Amino acid sequence: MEEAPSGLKRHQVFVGVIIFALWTILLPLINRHDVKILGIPLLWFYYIVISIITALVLSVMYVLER
Amino acid sequence: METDALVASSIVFLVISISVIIGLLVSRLKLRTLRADTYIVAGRTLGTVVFFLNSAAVIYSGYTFLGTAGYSYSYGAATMFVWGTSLLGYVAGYILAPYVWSLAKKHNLLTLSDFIMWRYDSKLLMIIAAIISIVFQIPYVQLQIQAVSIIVDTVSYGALPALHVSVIVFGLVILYVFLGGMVSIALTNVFLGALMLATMFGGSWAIILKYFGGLPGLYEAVASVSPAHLTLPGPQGLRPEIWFVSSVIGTGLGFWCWSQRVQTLFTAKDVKVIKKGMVLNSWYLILGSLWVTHMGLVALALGVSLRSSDYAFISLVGMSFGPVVLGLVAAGGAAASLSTAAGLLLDQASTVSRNLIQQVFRTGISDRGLITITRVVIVCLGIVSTILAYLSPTLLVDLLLIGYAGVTQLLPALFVGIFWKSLKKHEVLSGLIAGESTVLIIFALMRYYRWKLEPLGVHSVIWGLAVNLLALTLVYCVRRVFSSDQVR
Repeated sequence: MEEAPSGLKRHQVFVGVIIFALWTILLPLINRHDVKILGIPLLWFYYIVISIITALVLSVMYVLER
Repeated sequence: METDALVASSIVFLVISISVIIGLLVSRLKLRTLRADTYIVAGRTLGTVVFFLNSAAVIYSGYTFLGTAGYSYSYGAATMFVWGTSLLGYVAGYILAPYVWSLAKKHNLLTLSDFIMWRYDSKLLMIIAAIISIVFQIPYVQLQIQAVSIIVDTVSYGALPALHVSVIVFGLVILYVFLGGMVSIALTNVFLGALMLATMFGGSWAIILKYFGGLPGLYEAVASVSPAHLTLPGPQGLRPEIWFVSSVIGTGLGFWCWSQRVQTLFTAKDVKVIKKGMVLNSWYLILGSLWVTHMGLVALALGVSLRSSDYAFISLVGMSFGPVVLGLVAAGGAAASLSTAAGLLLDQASTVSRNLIQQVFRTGISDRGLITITRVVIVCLGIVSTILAYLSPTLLVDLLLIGYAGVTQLLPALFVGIFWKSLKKHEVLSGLIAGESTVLIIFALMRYYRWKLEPLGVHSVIWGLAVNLLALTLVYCVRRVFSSDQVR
């Protein structure tokens, strides 16, 4: 196989792994019906916030790369 | 037909007509149409806006518009895994897609199976990858026709023969894909993608604000009706935490194993466009599909009786607003279905013409010949999809259920193989066969014993991938041992 024209950036892979982890490992802690934040159940609040954070991280990665 | 139905239906058909006209006009431009890469991947010329809206329109389908709301109506919080699927897919795409795109441009690769052929130099592996891609895409095309059928049925208040109408609409899509290929699809999708976003965001928030004044009011209402919808394992206890985690990881990793998504990557002008596309697509999900997902909860909280859970969003719009808003939102739903169907159709046809005909039987075929074959296959696949939409065989439902697990078995061949340089076709082929067999066996067992969940609650994507990677590693080690023996 020939070499690919461009390589992976290690810090981006690291950030990607962290994001995958944030989407999964905290689930047992946040899957609770008795805790609400701003009137939103913790589980839903967490995944709405983590969705926005994921989009923000991608945006920041792009801005920093320019 | 009553006046309301006439108004709403007219808006939907106006939007469909506009998109078909755009598709047909673009095909008349003859933008270097005789080149295969122009017809199949728009000549790799798409800039940020067109690339972003085209990829969004292909990725977000009738399922996003109707299915995710239906899923939250049935399973509650578990539906949030679809946010993870897309967003983690964009993270993976941001890191890996520029690499894949660069290789594709350098070697003039047009399909996912082209990539496999280039990487492993194996016709057998390419043919298997092509067949896997095509087979698992078939039910998705049929699903889009059915989604349009639901929309037509709702906006016409049952006055129109919905399936017949949706098949005619699908026929118009086939026409512009046939004439203009990816260029027609992409420019039509600019219109459809923008419409989808506006209607998903506007429609969802208008309903949430109208009935509950905001998200806290909605969750409070759901908690009083069915608190189980707000946590895992959900109302029927069928979606435990392990299922959610395995689904997020498995489907997030497998996001780019869908051939039509890889093909949209190849349309980008450069690496920068791909990266901007990933960023913009992540915000597209935040603004659009995140809130559509909540529509199932709204229907539940309001106690709306639905013909099926997939009617949640569109029924809510119908009962909450006048025919104009219903028509606009329904048009957004139709846009989501048609844009995805167009992308699937071109990808299936080009995979057949390029990987199952040109590279297997007639390697000397010209660009013009390849386009002609692709067009013939588009028509044939369109006819097959139409017949399947009427017959709706159980096999299609089965393929749909195992679709994600099935295509994700291509992950080692696609992405692991790029970085594991010494990986050869034997290992990948063994892993692929083992992975697909695992997925099929688990599905057969679930059917036979009527299990409602995969073994240990772990999604079959992960079971398949685990066996796939294990088989791949074992064969790799065996090959290394034998080759080192031969060296001695």
